[in-house]
Amino acid sequence: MTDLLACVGVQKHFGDFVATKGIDLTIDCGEIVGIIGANGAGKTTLLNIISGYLRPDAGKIIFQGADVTGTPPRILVRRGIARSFQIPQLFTRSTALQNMMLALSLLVEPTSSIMQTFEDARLAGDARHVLASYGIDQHADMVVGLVPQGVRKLLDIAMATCAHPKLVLLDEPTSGVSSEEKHGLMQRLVERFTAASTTAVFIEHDMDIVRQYSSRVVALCDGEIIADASADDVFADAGVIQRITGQPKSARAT
Amino acid sequence: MSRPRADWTIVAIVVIALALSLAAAFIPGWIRYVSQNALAAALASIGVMILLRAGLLSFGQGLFYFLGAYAVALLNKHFAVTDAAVTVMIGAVCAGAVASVLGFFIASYRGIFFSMLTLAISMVVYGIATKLSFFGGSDGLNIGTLSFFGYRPRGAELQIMSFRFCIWTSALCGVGAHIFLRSRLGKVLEAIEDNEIRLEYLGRSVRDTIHIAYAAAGVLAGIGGALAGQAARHVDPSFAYWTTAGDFIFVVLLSGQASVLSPFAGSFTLEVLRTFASALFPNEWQLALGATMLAIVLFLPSGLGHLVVLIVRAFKRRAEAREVIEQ
Repeated sequence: MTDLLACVGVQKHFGDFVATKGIDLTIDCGEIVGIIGANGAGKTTLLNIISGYLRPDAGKIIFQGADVTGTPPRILVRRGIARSFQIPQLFTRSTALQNMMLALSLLVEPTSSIMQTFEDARLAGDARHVLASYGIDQHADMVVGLVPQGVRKLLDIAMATCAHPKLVLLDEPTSGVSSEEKHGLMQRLVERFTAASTTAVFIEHDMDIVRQYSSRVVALCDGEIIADASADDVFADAGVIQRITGQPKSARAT
Repeated sequence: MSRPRADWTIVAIVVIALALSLAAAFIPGWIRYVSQNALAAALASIGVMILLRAGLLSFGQGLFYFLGAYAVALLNKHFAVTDAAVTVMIGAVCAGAVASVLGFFIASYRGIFFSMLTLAISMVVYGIATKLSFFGGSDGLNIGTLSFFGYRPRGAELQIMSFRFCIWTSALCGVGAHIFLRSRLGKVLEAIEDNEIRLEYLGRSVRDTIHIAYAAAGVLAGIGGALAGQAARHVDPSFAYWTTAGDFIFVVLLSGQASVLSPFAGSFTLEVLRTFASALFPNEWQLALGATMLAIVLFLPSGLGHLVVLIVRAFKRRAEAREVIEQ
């Protein structure tokens, strides 16, 4: 039993629109899985269901052998499922440092009491250390609403993963990051996940990134999995070329 | 835990309380009475400020003010309990218990729904209180006498003791609220208005946090109401009327929400404003309050507390300019 996560027949519809049509997917410990698919294919819905934000209409989510279907995010995050967002979800009126401090005080020390002050030197030191490890400590004292999008993206991931989760779900980690920085960012994240033996699932539109950093690729189309194999096999798949990636060497479809 | 540092807010509260209680005998009676009312309202206003930090505007804090005050009056009338500390504590427990129960249902609401629900509950209680003879109907109830840990002063001495008791109770609550606001939980409260989704994904229940804040605000308003009842030695249903809760909001609007000291300053400003406005323009005093509110909203949207920031900044700038000239 190395299954970390299993989705069994996961279905979700919003009114008449079917977002996922019975998805079966298992993720093993230590995998780095890339999810590709056109807009509206059901990628984010799948992450929302796995992380507990949405309850599926049918099907089950099994995490470490336990049924966690419909368990809210705040419980799942303590069990080890972390998640970052396509649009960074931050406390925009606080500084980057304060954001990180809040994440550490909640995720790493969940027993934080009323008697512990927030403006604590050790907490601030730890937060600065995490920011430095992502190379964004020069923005530490800036209000988050004013820092560049790429930094916000990193901060979002840093806050989501600071508690050393078992499974990390990343929704488009490189969107909004400049093309020169994309590979550096992914390199850094994958090194971290490998070192901490964290399993990762990421949604990505940049096929170079997917090819280079995923140990396995899952292709979604209209709420169904149309391919699930190694990166090379998926990108060679006729259905994937036709419906998602387009012809090789031609302009990349979105 | 880091090593304890001097917290200047707590020092300020203790020093002011000490100075006022020592000077109590030399302060004219009417100023003591106005101060007691201001302190009582300040405690309820701190509760409003706590909820406002989470982006929630409660129009129903008068309900807990009412509960605290009536606990004192009913204990006095039916059980002959006169001890100020005991009655305040029971008032706080009553208000806290009701807030904790209401919180289960009210913590899921935000924005205008939260405001209107708190207002509605408070007004229902007001309506009931004016009709029931148990609560003394619309005339309210008198509070006979007060004792302080077995000491039963009379006449002027009673007023001075009541003043001192009010000061130290308020100081204690002020320190408690300050510790709450500077804590990690206090920071979570501020984060609620900013991003609920992120908080949930950090493993924190937004609903539980609002529930705690609502209960804490209820306890503070309950203590405030008890102190107000003890100051006037009379309570009436208008404590639960929405204009009472409106006063608390006005205080926070006036003072801003920078620190736990702000509502104290705001509450004194409001009492002074009201006292002088009603003396100078007996028929138009509400107009004077309205004009002040308008001026604050237009020119000092962060409250009077922002004046302090502006003055400090102006002095710094002048000092910097001087340095430049001297170089």
